[in-house]
Amino acid sequence: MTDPARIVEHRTSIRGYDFELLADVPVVYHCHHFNLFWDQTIDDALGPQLGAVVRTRAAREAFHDIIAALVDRLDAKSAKDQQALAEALFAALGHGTLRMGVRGNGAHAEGRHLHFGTCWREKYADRVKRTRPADAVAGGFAAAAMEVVHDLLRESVDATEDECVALEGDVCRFTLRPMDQAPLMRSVRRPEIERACRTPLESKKEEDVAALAAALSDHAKKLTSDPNGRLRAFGLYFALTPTTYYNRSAYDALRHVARGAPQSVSVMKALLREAGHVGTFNTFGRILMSPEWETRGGPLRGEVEEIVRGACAIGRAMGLGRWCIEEIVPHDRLVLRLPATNESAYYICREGRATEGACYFTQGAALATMQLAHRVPWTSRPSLTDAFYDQLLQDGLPWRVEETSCVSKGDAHCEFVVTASDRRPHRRLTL
Amino acid sequence: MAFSAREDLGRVALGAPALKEVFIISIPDCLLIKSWARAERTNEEETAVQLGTVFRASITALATAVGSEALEGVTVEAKHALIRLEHVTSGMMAAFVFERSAPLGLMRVQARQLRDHIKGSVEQFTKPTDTGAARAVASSVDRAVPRFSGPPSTEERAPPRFSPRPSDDLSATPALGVPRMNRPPPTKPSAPLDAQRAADAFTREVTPFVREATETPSDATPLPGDLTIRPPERVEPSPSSEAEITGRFDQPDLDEPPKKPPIPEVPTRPVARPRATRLLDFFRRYAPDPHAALLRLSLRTGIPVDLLEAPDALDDAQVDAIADSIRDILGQETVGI
Repeated sequence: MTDPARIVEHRTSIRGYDFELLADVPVVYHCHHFNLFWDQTIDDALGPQLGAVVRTRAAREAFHDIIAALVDRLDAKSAKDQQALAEALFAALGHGTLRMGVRGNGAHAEGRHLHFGTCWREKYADRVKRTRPADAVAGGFAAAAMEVVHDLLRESVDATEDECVALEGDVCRFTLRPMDQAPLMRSVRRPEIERACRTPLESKKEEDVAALAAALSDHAKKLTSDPNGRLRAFGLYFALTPTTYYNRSAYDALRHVARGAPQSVSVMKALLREAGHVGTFNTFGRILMSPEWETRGGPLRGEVEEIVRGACAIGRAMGLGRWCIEEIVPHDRLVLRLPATNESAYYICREGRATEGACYFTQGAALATMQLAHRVPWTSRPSLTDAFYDQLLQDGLPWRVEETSCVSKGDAHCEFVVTASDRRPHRRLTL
Repeated sequence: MAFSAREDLGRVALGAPALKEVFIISIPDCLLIKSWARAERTNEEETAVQLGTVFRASITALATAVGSEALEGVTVEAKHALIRLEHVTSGMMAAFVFERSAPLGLMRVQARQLRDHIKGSVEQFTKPTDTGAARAVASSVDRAVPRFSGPPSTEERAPPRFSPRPSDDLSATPALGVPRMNRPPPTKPSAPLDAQRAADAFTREVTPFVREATETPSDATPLPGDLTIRPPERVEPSPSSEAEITGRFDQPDLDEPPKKPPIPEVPTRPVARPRATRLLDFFRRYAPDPHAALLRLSLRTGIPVDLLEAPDALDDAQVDAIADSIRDILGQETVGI
C-alpha cells in the first residue's frame, strides 16, 4: 500500500502536448531555486501572513485531488492505510517526510527534510535570517490529507506551521484545525488541460527535439526520492508539485495586487518572470552540463541552436508543455511556441479571458533559454553557482520577452518572442 | 559630461594611454559610483571598497603623523600597476590605475587633470539652473553623487501604512516590462483585514484588500561593526595644501619640486548622505538575489522602481517603509546606518 512504485504507476502524460499528470492532476518538476523565489514573490506581494494563507490554501486544494484519487485507485480503505498512503505520496514527490496524527479536536503533523524549509536554509541562511515559516506547501498537503483521511469536507481544514527548520528549528511542526469550508473553485484536471490544447505543433528540427525529450523523459521517470523524501538530481533539489499550486497562488496574488496596489502589478509580473528565469537557468543549465545529457545527446559544442533545441527537449521532458522552436536567429531573436502552457490552461479555466499574455513562468523560461544559449561558456564547463548567476545579471538582462499570443487570450497557441534589449549599465537593478 | 554613461569616462581616458582603470568612489562609505576599464574586469565594487579604504586609512595616518587630515592624493606603487587616489569633492574620490611603466610625474599630472575634469563635470551639473533638461541631467548625476543633508538618524520609527495609489499609464521598458512611472500622489493609510477573510475574498471577489501593516520594530542593539556604516567624517581639502603620502619613502620624488608642509586643519562637523541612499546602498550589499532587490522592495512598499532609483526624491514615510522592508528581508531588528 505504501510502495512509492505504486504511486508512480499513476503518472501519465497528455500525448502530443507534453504535460505530466498524477492521478489526472497536472504536475510539474521544479527545482528549489524556482520554488523558493516563487513563494517569496507571493509573500512580497501579499505580506507574510496573507501570503502563507494563500499558498497553504492553494496547496491544500491541489493535493486534495491527488490524495483522494490515489486513495480510491489504490483501494486504501481504512484511515490508517489512507494516512500511510498520503505520507508515502509526500515523500515520493520529493517534498520530504511528513508524519500526521490526531490530537484532541484537531490534528498535527511533523515534517522533516521538507523541500521548502530545508532548501531555504541551505541556500540563504548564511546570508539572511528568516523570521517566518517556509513550508506552506507541506501544511496544505497535511490539511488535504486530513480532509481525505477523516472524510471531511474539502477546503475545511486549516494548517499553520508553528516550528520550521528555516527558523533554526530542528523539525517543522504544524497544527491542523477544522474550519468553515472555504469557497470552492472549479477544478483544473486532465479534461480542462486537454480542452486548452487545441493546436498540435511541431518544432524546427522536431526529430532531434523529440528524440532528446523522449530519452530525458525516460530518465526522469526513474528519479526517486531518498529515504528522507528528498529528490536530488543534477545538483539541485526537485519536487513534483501540482501546477494548480503555482497558478492559483500567483493569479490570486496578482488579482489582489491589481485591486489594492495597481502600480505594483508589473513589478510582480517581473518577479514571477524572474522565478521562471532562475529556475529554468539552473535546471536546464545543469541538465545540459550533466553526464546524463552527454550520454543521450553527445558532448556539448555550445552552439546557440544546439542549446535552444536542448532547452526545448528538457522543457518537454519536465512536463512544461510542448516547447517548439518557431524561429531562431542567433544573437538576435528566438520565437518559441507551445500549444498551451500549464499557466494558460489554468487561466482560461478559472480566470476567464486575459487581455495580455499570462504565462509568466514560461516568459522567464524563454529568457533563460537565450541566456543559456549566449552567455554561458559551455566548453569551459563553468559551475552554475549562485555567484555565477548573480554576476550574469549584475548589468541587467540583455534580452526582453514578449508573449505575442496566449491561449488565455483566446489565441490558438502561446508564443514567446525573445529579442535583444537595450543593455545599459544603469539599468542593472531592474529585470 | 554626465556620469550616467560608461563611455563618457572612456572618452576622458583617451588622452592617457597608460591609464587602465578609473573608479569613482563615494567616501567615507567607499561605495562605487562609476567605473571604467580599458579591458573587461570583474569585482569593481570590491575593488572600490578596498581603494576607498586605503584612501581613508591614509587620511587617518596623515592626521596621526603630522596632525592634519588635509589629503589631496595618494600614490601606491604596486608590482604591476601605479595607482593614484585623488580627492575630488567632499564625499567623492577617484582612483586611477596606470600601467607600471608610466612615469610617476606624468601619472600624477594626468591623474590631476582627470580629477579636475571629473570635478568640473560634477560641479557643472549640480549647479542650479532653470532649464528642465539640465534638471533632468542633474538628477541623474545626483543619483551618482551623494549629497549631505545632516547627521544620520536611528531606525526606530513606527512603520507607515500604505494604501493603494492610482496607477499611472504603464509602458514597458526595454527590460522585462517594468514600467516607468510618475510619482503617485500621497494617499491615506487603510486598516488591515483578517488574513483568512482576505483569502476568502479572492474567490468571492467582493472585499477589497489593503496591505497589512508591518510590525513595529522593537528596540535592539545595532548590527555588528562590519555591517554598520559609521557616521561619515567630512574631509575638506585646503586649496593651498598639497600634502601627499607616497609609498616610496626611501627615495625622493625627482619629478616634482618638494611640497610645503600642510597647514593643519580642524575637522568640521560630520555630514551624511541622505538616509534613503544609505539604506539602499546597505541593502544592495546584503540583499539575497541582489539583481531582484529593488523590485522586491518596490513590490513590498508600493514605491515605483524609478523612485527607488532616485532615492533623494523619497519622503520620510516612504523611507520608513523601505527601512521596514529591508529589516524584514534581511531578518534584522535594526539597520545600523
